[in-house]
This record gives sequence, structure tokens and C-alpha cells, in this order.
Amino acid sequence: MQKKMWTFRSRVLLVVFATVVFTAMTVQYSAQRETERAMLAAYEGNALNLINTVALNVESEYRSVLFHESVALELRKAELRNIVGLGIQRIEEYHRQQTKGLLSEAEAQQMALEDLRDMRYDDGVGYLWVNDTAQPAPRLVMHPTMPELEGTSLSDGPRFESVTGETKNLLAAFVDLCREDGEGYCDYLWPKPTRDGLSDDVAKISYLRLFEPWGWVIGTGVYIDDIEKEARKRLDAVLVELRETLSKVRIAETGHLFIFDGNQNSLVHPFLDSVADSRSPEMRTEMLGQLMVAAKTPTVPFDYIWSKPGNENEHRFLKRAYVTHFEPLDWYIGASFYVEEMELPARRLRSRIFLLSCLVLLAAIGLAVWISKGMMKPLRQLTLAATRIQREGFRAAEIPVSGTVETVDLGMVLRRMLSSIERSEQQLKNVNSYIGNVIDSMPSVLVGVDASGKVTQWNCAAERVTGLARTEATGRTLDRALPAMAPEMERVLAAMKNGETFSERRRIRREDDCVRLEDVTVYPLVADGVEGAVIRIDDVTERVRIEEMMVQSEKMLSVGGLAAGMAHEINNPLAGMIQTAGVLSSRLADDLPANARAAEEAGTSMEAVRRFMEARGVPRMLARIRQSGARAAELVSNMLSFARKSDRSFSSYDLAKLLDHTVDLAGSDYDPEREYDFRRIEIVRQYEEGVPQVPCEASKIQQVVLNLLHNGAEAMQEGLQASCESRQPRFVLRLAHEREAGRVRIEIEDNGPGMDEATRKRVFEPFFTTKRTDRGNGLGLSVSYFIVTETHGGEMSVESSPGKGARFVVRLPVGKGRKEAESSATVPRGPVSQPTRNPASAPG
Amino acid sequence: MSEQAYTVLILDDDEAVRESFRDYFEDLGWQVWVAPTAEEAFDLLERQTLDAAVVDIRLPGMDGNAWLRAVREVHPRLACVVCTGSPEYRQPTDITVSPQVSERVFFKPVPDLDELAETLRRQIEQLSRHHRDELGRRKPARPSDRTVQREGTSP
Repeated sequence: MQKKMWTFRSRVLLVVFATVVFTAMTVQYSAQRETERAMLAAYEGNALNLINTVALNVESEYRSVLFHESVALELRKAELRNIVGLGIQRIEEYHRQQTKGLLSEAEAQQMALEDLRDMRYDDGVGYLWVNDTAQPAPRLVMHPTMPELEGTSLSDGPRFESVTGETKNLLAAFVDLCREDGEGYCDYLWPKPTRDGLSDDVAKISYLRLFEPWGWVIGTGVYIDDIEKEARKRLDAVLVELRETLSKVRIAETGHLFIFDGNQNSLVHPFLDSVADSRSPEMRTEMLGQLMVAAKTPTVPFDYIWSKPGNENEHRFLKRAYVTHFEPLDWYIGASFYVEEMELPARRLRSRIFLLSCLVLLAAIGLAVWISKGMMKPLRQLTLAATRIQREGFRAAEIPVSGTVETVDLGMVLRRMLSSIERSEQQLKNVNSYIGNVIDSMPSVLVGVDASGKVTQWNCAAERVTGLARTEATGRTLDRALPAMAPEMERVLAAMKNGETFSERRRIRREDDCVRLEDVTVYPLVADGVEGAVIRIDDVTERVRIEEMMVQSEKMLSVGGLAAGMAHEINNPLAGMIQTAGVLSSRLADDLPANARAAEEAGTSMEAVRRFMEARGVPRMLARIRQSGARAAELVSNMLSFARKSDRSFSSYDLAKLLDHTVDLAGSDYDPEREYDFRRIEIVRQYEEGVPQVPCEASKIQQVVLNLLHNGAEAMQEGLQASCESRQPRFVLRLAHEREAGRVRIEIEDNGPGMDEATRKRVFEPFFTTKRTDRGNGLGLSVSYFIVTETHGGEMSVESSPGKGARFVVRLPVGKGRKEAESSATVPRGPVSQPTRNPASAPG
Repeated sequence: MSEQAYTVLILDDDEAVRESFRDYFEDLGWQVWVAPTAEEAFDLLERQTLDAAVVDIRLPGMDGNAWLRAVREVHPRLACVVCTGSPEYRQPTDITVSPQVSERVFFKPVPDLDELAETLRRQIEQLSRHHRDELGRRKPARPSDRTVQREGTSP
């Protein structure tokens, strides 16, 4: 799994980017929040302040109006009091006249009433009236403007229950007032006399005083609607002023102040005048109702969704309003603004911060790129150089030493490392090639395998033997690369597993048509925990053959040595015997002067002696002694000539004699183990005349002939047993001189069962045998072939077909080839094997 | 027998063999000296000048080959024939090429002693011919040799 790798630069860039973005976002977020909050708080404070200011303003205006109103009223009240006082003075005049008795009470009262009726002021608008204090229902005594009401108690309807603030009969209220304090003011509604008659009921304040003597309540009142009108006028002026000023006040963009009254009449609104109000009255009512409710908590903002100037038809803007209720006027003073607009500066700030952040980010990235580039350049150069070196070898590039201290150090370290690696690699290469050469120059097949039996090593000898190139063999399993080892795979694996060397000597391998002997050794390898094995295969075919020959020679040598000593010991007495017998016969028979002299001295003659001896058969006896001695001497000589030490050098021999001697030897060599008796075999000799002597190692040639005779005898015996045919076993020995070729041909022909083509072709192969395994090692003919072809430079072949017997032909050069034969004659004694001619490939 | 009588030395450690040779050669009318060892043969040759020698090879002490080589230096006119009981004997080349020693080697037992006698005769004649030729070629240089030889060969 490849983990995602970061380059230094991307990491730096990422860090810078992340830092800048994080900072920007944090700043932006907190700034925005802070700004928004501050702005909101500012605007809210502003709004509240404005409201408060307006409210204060309104209040002060209102107070001023009230003051003026109250001042006017007080003036009026004082006036009323004075007027009532004047009236009372008149009444007191008449009462005094009464008390003086000048007038009766009724006259006095009548006159007083007349006076009072005429007392008009304010252009006739002002008047005095009188009512009594009768209980329960006081009656109106005199009323100048509405005389029809005189004598009534004003109890015919709610019309006269118009006292401000309570539901009470006016007159009763007047009486009650006077009873308590003797005088008082009362507010109520009353029609006002105008030039056009009486008006509707208007607000009126009256002063009442009790004139106790008569139980009258005298009152006069002024209509205060003008005062109120004035106040209203003043308030209107205030409103106009407010409208003027407030319409200019803006909170943020379109936030504004407004005033409406308890009847939901808009008093001040900067837009309502100019802009067509599309909102339905219901909505408006509901809205204002909510605002009125909100006015109860003036410091708590009231949020609602509303349209906006410019977007009158879209009710989707969050609006925040603060409303305060100015109770005296039942005015609702409010400030509303769009929250959205509060956020506008924050948003502006944010976008500015964003822009700035972007700039900073760009600058930072540029800076980071520049710095990282500067930092990375030497590293990159190092990497490039290292990559080239890795790809193209040590000489491909120089490790740069540049940049900062760190990269310079790194470069130095890399250089040192590379040079040491190069040295090591060179050494390794040298060692490897040395070891490779050593392994390749081994004559043995050396094959390395790993734990799974796959080939890892394959030396030149292996290539030569298998014909499989190293590259082809490597990686194959052993049994595929080296089929000869296929049956041994398990043992190879076992050897690896057990760590034990396993070897098999003289393993037989059939290659095409010939048999090779191999020593196989498996050495388990345990090096650095790597399991495997080395298999060594040595072709020992030649060596074994030579060893066999040497064993044979050694055997012969020791027998020969013994025989030679014995022969000497025997020959001397034989010489004494035979030679003495010879001298004896000549002394008995010959005409030697010494004989005649001795006979004469003995008193006889040679003639007599001769006769005596003839008669006694002495000459025959002497001849027998000499004959027997000669035979003994010949036997010793024959026996020796086969294993004669001195025969190791080449000498010229008469092959006819050699053949005969060998036949004798074969006959005398009686082995009870053998199933045939050589003496019973007929020997036919067909020797050509004038066959020249042949230079050879007699014992070797004898060995060849003896071998052929034994083989033939055995074959004939077997044939005899197999066919139950009573054929006389017979050898035909031929000797001929091939003059043109300069060779002597020896033929040994038997009349045995012969052999088929396949056998015939392989009969000279080492270890090829048709005999039972307990008999012979299959080397006899092979060794013979070797002796003839290699040691003597001759030829050896066989002609045979089944049922026709076999004829072995040995050809030996007469003169030629002697020299080379002599040089190679020493071969079997040397320590190194040299002859490599394959017998199977020689002409058969 | 009108044959020239030679003087011959039989060098052989086997008495029976020595005696059979002595008997044979004496019958031929030759003068026979015998020696069982090479050393004794030397002593004898110091005292006697002989024509020929039948030399055995296997001898106690100095063997026949060594004796032949030694004799070549001090008694070059002694004709020699090897007669040995060792059938494996092959005459060393340096001995064979010597005009003094016969190429033909006899192996004991010698069935036909006449052949041996014949070989000895031929060898003696060959050797004397050889010395005559040698003398003719180097006549001025070696006058005294002939004198010595003469004295030695005619008792």
C-alpha cells in the first residue's frame, strides 16, 4: 500500500494556506460577530436613545403645552372665581337688604337672580347660573342661556351626567362639591353658546360656590376647548416639528423613527406620507397592535418581518423595533430598523477582511513557494543526482553540495556513502566474479538450489553437460533443469531439511545410448538463514574405468612380482638340472676325447657304456629329464609373461606366440566357479605366414585376448545350455597382416549364440554387461577397448548377429603409432586421468 | 676337436648352474674359471686375462649389470653374454650398445648350451674385430694398448 506522500513544498503550502485561512476565518468570524454585535448594540442604543430623546422631547413639549394649558386654566379659574365672587357680592347685597328687611327674601332672591342673569362676560359667552341644594335632586334655579331648564333637576337623561370622570348628575355633583368645601371646580361637557346658537357639548370647567343663606350654588364656567385647541395646536406644531426632524433621522439605511397614537393613527412616519401604503389595513392594525403590546417593555426589542422601502411588496425583511409609550398623549414612539442593515457594515467588513485575507494568502503562498523552492532546490538537485546514479551508475552524476548547511551536510554524507558503496560494490563484484570464476572453472557440475528446489547457481560445467544456459536454468526447479536429478528431489529436499550432506557414489545415468557414472553430492547450505543446497555432480566414468584398470594392473603387478621372484628361484635349479642333464648326455654319448679317456681308465670303452645305456634306457631317461625341465621352464615363462613387470614397456612380440601363450594360460586358468572347461573348447588356429612382430605391451594384449576368450567361452557355454544343442564349442583364432594399413589383425571368433544389433553397439560401453550381476563388472570389454585403442593406437570391433557367433577383431599397428602408444602407455599409472575418447562413439 | 680353446669366466651364484657350465665348456676344451660373486670375478680378472664371461644378473652384492658396467672400464676386451634366471630381465640399453656385451640374452634354464657357446664365440670374434678397427683408426695414438692386450691374451 502506497501511502500518499507529501512533498515538502505542498506541505509548506498547506501549512501556510491553512494558517492564513484559519486566521482569516477566525478574524472574520470574530470581527464580524463583534462588529455585528457592536453595530447592533450601537444601533439599538442609538434607536433607544433616539426614542428616549424623542420621548423626552415630546414630554417636554407636552409639559410645556400642559403648562401653558394649566396656566391658562388657572387664569380662567381665577377669573371664574372672581366672577362668581362678583355674583356672590351682588347676592350678598340683596341678602343684606333682606336682612335689613328692605326686601323680602323672594324679592331679594328675584332681584339677585335678575342681576346674575344679566352678568355676561366674554362677549356674552360667559354667564352665571344658580341651582339649589335641594335633596335628593337639586334643581336648576337660573340659567341665562337655557332658561327652559330652570326649575328642573337636569335628571331627564344621560345628557346631564357629563361630569368628566364620573357618571353623576351635574347638579348633584355641584352640590356635593360645595357641601364639602363650600366651593370647587368641576369639569364637564356642556354646549357652548356661539353666534350660531348653542354648539354641541364641549369641555367646560366651572367654579361653584355655595351661598348658604339661600342654599344656592352659584357657578360659572368657561369652555376650555379653546385651551385644548391651543394645546392641540401647539402639539400639532410639535408634531410638525417632529415630523420635520424625525423624517431626517435614519438608523442605518432605512431604519427610522415613527410615532403613532393609541388609535393607531400614524403621526410621524417618514415613508407613509410619500409612499403608497400597499399593506392591508388588517395587517397594519395587527402590526400596530403588536407594537403597542411591545411598548410595554420599551427596552426589549421587538422583531418582526416587514417590507422595506424599495421592496414594499416583499414581506421578508427582519425588522427590529423599540417602542415606548408616551402615556399622556397616548403616543407610541418607536424606532425601527432592518437587522439586515445592521449586518451590512459587518458584511462589508467581512468582505474587506476576506479580500485582505485573499491578498495575504496570495502573498503568503507566493512567499512560501519562493522559500520552499529555495529550500527544495538543493534537495531536488540531490534527489536528481541520486536518481541518475541509481539508474545509470556511480559515474552518472556528481552529488551536489549546495544550499543550506543542512543540505550541504546531507550532500557530503551522500557523497561519502556513495563512494563507500561504490567501493563495496566493486569489491563485491570482484569477489563475485572471482567466486564465479572459481565455480565455473570447476570440472564438476555445481548447481545451487534454494529451499524450494529452484536453481540459483549453474556453473559452466552444468551448462556443458545439460546444454542449458545459465539464464535458462536459473529459476527452474531442479528436476526440470537437471532431469537426471528428478528421482533424487526428495532426498535433496531432505538433505536441506536435515542439514546433512548426502552423497551417492557411482550413480548410473543413461545418456542417449551410453552409460555414465556420476558421483552426486548434495551439500546443504545454511548461510545467513538462507536455506538451500549445492549439488555437485562429477562424471567419474573415465576415472572409474581407469581405476578398474589400475586395480587390475596392481593385481597383476603384485602377482607378477611374486611370480618373477618365484620364476627366478625355479629357473636356477631347472638350469642346474637341465644343463647338467645336457652335459651328462653328451658325456655319455658323444665322441669326446675326455669320454674315451675316462672309459679307458675305467677299464671299459665308450662303446660298452653306450650299449649299457641303450640297454637301460638312460638316454631316454635323460631326454625325459630335459623335456620335463623344459616344460616346467616354459610354464614358468608363460605364467610370467602375462604379468611381467618388464613388459610394461613396449617390445616387439610375435603375436602368434602371444596368442598361443594366452590360450595356454586360459586353459591352465581353471576356476571351479566357472561353468565351462576351457580345455574342452576346440581351438582352431589360422595364422598367416610372415606376420611381423608387433610392438605392444604383451601383458596388456594378453589381457585383452584372455578377456575375449573368457567372454566367448562363457557365451558359448550359455548358448549351449540355452539351446540344448550339442554343438562343439570352438574358437577360431586368426592372425593376419594387413600390409597396406600397416596393421596386424587378430580375430577371435566363437560359435556361441552371438548378439543382437543393440547389444553389439553397446558391448564396449563401460558397465554394459549381459552377464549376471554377480559376475564381472561389465568393464572387461570396455577396458579391452581402451587398451587397444588408447594404449596401442589400434582398433577394436565386433561382428555378430544372433545365432551366428561373435567375431572380435583387434587391429594393432605394426610400426606406426608406436610412439604415441608409448607416450600414452604411461597414462594408467599417472595421477590424472586423461583419455576421454568415448568408446561408444568409436567405429564398432 | 680342432676348435680354438677360449678362456671363459662363469659368474653365477648357483653352484649347480656354475658346474653345469664348467662341465660343458671344459668338454669343449675351453679353460673355465668360475666366480660365485661379482667381487670374486673382479679379483680373478686382476690375476687372469680371459676371453669371455657368462654373467648372471641376480647376484649377492654387486649385481650383474653393475659388474658389466664396471668391467667395461677396466676389461674392455672381455666378451660378455648375459644368462639370467629372471625371465623379466631386459638388458639396459647402455649395456646392450656396448660392443663388449652380446645383445642376445639367455634365460636359465638354457635348453641348448651350444647356442650359448656359439654366441660366446661370435661375441669374442666381434669384439676382437671391433678392437682391431678401433686400433686401425687410432693407431698412432694408442700403441701401448696392443702390447698390453697381446700380453693378456696369450698365456
